[in-house]
Amino acid sequence: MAPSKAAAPSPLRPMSPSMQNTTSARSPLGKALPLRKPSIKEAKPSPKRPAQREPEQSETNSHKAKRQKVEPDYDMAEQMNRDVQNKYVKGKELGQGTYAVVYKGHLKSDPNHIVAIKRFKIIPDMKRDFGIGPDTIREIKYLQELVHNNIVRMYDVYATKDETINMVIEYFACGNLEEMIHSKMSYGLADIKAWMGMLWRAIYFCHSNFVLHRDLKPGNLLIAEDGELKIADFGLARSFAGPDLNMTATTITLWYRPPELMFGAKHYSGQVDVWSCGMILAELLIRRAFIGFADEDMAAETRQTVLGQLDLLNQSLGTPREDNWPGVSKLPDYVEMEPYKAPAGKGEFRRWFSNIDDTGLELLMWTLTFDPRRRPSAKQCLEHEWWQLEPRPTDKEHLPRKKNVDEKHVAKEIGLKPGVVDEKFTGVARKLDFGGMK
Amino acid sequence: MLAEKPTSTLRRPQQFSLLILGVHFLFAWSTVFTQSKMIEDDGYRASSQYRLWSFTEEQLHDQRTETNRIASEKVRRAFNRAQLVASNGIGEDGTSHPDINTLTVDEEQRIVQWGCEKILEMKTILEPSPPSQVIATAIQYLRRFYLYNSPMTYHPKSIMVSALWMATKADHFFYKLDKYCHQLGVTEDDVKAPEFLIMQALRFTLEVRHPTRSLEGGIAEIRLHSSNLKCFKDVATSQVRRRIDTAGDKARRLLVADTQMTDAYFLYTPAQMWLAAVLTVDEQLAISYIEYLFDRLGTAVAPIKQKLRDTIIECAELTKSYTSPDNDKATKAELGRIGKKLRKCQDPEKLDIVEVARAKAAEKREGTDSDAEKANKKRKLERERLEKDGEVFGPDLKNVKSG
Repeated sequence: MAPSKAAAPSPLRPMSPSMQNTTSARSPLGKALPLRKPSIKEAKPSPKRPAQREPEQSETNSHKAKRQKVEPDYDMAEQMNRDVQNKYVKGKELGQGTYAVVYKGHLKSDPNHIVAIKRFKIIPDMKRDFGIGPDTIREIKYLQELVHNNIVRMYDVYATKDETINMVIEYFACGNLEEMIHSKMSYGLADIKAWMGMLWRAIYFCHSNFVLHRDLKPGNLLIAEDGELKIADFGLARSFAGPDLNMTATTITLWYRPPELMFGAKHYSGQVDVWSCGMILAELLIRRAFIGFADEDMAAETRQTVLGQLDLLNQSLGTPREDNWPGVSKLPDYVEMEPYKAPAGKGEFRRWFSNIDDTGLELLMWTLTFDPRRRPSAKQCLEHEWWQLEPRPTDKEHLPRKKNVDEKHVAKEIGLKPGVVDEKFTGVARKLDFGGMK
Repeated sequence: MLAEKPTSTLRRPQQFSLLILGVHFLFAWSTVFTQSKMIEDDGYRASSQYRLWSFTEEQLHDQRTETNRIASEKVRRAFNRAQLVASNGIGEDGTSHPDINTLTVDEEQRIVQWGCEKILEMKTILEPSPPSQVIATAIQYLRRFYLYNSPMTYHPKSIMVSALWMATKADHFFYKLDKYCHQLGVTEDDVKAPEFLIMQALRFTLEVRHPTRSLEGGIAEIRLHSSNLKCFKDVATSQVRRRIDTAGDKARRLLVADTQMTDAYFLYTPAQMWLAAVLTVDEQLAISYIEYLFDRLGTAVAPIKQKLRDTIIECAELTKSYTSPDNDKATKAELGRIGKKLRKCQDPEKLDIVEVARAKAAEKREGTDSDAEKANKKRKLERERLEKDGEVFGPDLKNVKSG
């Protein structure tokens, strides 16, 4: 693969993982992590590969011999796992959540490269026993594939001897966008443009890899030390389903959920994430949720709160009906909203959002189109004229961000959020369990 | 690989890259890549399927030989320990048992294939029947698992139900565990205990990129350009449509069954696999389509044409090489022979995965004292179980855990 660094950066050009690996300045781990080398040569046995390692060799290794009392010979799979584990040094605990513990850690070969290690807890739970939790599986599945500058990087996954899964993730110390919105720090349109650009590039990248994120909200947008915005939490993500398979409509935190999902659509596309992006843009502009019914805590979500959110949409953006959204009345959970309000026009949007230029306002209105077929794709958002206009997006180095957030906070970012949003709806807990453990 | 980077002579090698590596999705290809610099090949190269699970034939063979060597050695040593325990109660000796006749790489492959066939059968047992994609994912999990594990260590019968269970979770087709177990006649522990081993052997990569997805896009494209294909010159529109549909259906069936039973996923890209499937079911159609695409792309890519054709023909030959054992008495007999042989060289220490997982948990709870003693006891028990163990392959799927 040619590292075509010189190519003019197009907004459509997500950093391809192969490029990330060649620009080692940007990802110091690129070289140190053979797992990430996107080269077929990797498969070829080399002296480094565990395949070439004799089990006897590990026996001579003194500390291993001490730890392994009765079984000095490993399976090849075990040995590979061990090699991954041995790349990292696990440091102190940063925090505990219901389903995971987060540790600080670093690369053995480079102590300055700090990582976070998220260790899933083993929770025996007879009621919800289905082995490894589906959202753990999903998060690992998608993060393994999606390597992009604006997506939280999962460097490695390994198992420890007691059969727990450990994810090695990027370390974040600068909070998330939600905190930014609610903080006293000031930011301007150029900053918003930069964040939205990064968000849309990440989403475009996900969609071109056939992955829907399905939980975009400011709290899931982390800010890296260099200012880069990274989308996190792929526990609700899924691949695009073919027309023969249904998808769940109860996904995406209510305030950021598009109307088609509230009406129970079973087939949808990248446009659901685009609606969330629109809501995020609106929230960045007015520094509070644009349309948020009651508490956004999804654990408390009922049909009532969904209707409440729909009602707010109806009052502000207008009434979704057959005339502005052909086919809407055929959606399974469609309800006729009253009283009727004409779709919000530019005048109304201008009153709500006074601090954005006309072109930006048009883009915002477009992303908040009821009919998903007329809502833009992530690609169309990136191609919008807004990006060509002043102000230019702020360089990431100059974006506002908190410095040195305390470490407990880091743990929270990385996956100890107490409100497990999807638990109720998918019957899925963030946990790990093994039948043999009981 | 081909299509390393777009050259100036190629305006935009979209179809071209689709052909080589494409993982394109219905209709999505036509415009998405016309303006961006990133081509689909980059996307595929970033996938774990390419990074960790793509090999040349030689690499694949080397890896299997190595896995087999390590497992054979382990089995011999385990038997030796078991024998020592049986004779004098002390089981620590690093030497290996010379008399154990271990499986060859080919025999291992045959047994893995048996496991894949069983997973295919589970599609008909489970209600609701899982989509073919889930089945295909499970089969690929099993195949990948046995790249770094040997059936002598873990018999496919104890891995396959769990592999399918994981595929249902990874591909979003959920069952209730008790219902799943009931239908397949296994216990919940049978399903859950090996999950960890599988995750580890899969190197924590769970995505499988299937050729069936690209096939849908490919068929749509063939339809779109049908008037330009040589094989449809002077053919009535209704006939053209029927022929494309038939080819699509047949290719789809081939990809979810026969292709799964071969090494195709390790050796070829999804785009190569679907083209090979179309080639198998309607050679003329596939060739006309390839000719048409290359005509459009001009002379600059001509040298690649032959290579591409060869690759696709090779892939098609591989798929054709599979014969179901149901249709072949000799294959069946051979399978029986390997099964008997395996019974004698199954690693006695890993025989009961549920028990091993439980022991590991116990070890964690109770600390490490007298581990050697416990392990010896455990081995002795398992050795006895092995001796009692009846039919390793089990008469049919429902009784698969009867041992």
